[in-house]
Amino acid sequence: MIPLPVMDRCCRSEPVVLDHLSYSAIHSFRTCPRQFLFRYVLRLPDEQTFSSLVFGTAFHSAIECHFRSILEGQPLLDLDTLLAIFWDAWHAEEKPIHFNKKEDLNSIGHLADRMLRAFQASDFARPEGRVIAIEEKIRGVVSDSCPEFVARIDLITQTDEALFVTDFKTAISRWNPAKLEVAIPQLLIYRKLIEDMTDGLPVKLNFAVLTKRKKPILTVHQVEHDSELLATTCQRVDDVWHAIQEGGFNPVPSPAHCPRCPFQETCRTW
Amino acid sequence: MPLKLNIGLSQKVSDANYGSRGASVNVELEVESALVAEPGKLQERIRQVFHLVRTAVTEELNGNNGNNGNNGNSSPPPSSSGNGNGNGNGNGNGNRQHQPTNGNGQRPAASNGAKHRLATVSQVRAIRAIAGRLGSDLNQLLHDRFHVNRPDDLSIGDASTLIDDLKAQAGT
Repeated sequence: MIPLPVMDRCCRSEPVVLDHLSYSAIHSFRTCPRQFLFRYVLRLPDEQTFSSLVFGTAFHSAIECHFRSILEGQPLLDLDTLLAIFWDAWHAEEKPIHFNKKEDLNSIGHLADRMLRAFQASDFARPEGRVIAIEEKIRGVVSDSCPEFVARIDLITQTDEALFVTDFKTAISRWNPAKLEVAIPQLLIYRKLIEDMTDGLPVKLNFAVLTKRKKPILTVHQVEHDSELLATTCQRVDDVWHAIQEGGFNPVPSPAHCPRCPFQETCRTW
Repeated sequence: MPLKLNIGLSQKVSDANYGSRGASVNVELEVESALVAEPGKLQERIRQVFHLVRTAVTEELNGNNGNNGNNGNSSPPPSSSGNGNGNGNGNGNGNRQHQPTNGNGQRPAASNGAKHRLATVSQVRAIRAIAGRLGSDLNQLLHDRFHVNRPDDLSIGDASTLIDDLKAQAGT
């Protein structure tokens, strides 16, 4: 149940005050403003979570440790260590985890094993140059009329030629051009946020996408900077923030999103 | 009875030749006491003043001194009521003031085109870890080579250099 004072506050037409925005917050509002309200304004805890989300978080933890060992000059972590890190992160999840059909801890473990092997075998696991940042929170201005933006950038590396910013994704299947196009604005915003890190070097933006298949494949997609698209993206952020300020938190029911929403029960009784 | 807000921000950036420049701005202003009963509005007011202060500090560090307006990335913040006074100062050598993260483990903002961001959290952590393994006197090393007291105060470039050197010492 939502505490009454919280409901009361929400029902008043006060402007929303947020410390910061993030790409996932913007995405959440555009997907369903009601979900955004629950998560980012009222800060309600998720009722449940989904195996794919927990998997992604746990996998990120494992590769974070991999790159941290490189930065700190330690020997590369072996598969067993990476799997142990994966499971530690998995078991740290306190909310009930909703599994997909034909999925259980055993199949999750096999998938993590296959994907970590594919990751270790990839060039992405041994970046050229220096590792500068891993899972780094970067804060900055995307639009003057919005709260500051916070991004958690998976990996920043530097060579003599360029600064490389990489966002790591796990995905059911390989990304096609359409999927990549939808994701590009996220990296453009990241680029804007790290402008003062570049030291005059050109910035190269990458998505590293690892598929959750029997034979996982890791593909690095290079993204070209597009200042026009960045301007459009910043304008969209601005538009979303204005919509948030106007308090338009109506739900957008969708067979694609509602079954995967962590606030299904709260939404029904709201 | 008026409510008094006192808001300040200090920041330091690295210069070439191991130097650094720092600036701090403190603003004190009075706001309507009724805001106490409206935490949302009070928080918004505080946020506006922080925006103002952050812009002033960044301009000072960039050498703009507020003369050339914004640099395309920041705009004047919303005006706030009450009376405020800010006082920015830059010092040209070795301001040793601590540059904190912003409370969320984030390093200083990248918002206004400052040319050098301080070392990342990952770099700071790596420096501490490697120096710890080597048993190095990190404070002495930082002071002697980079004229700073903490790895957090290094630039990204200096942090990378130090990490490379420490790794070489460690034989990795």
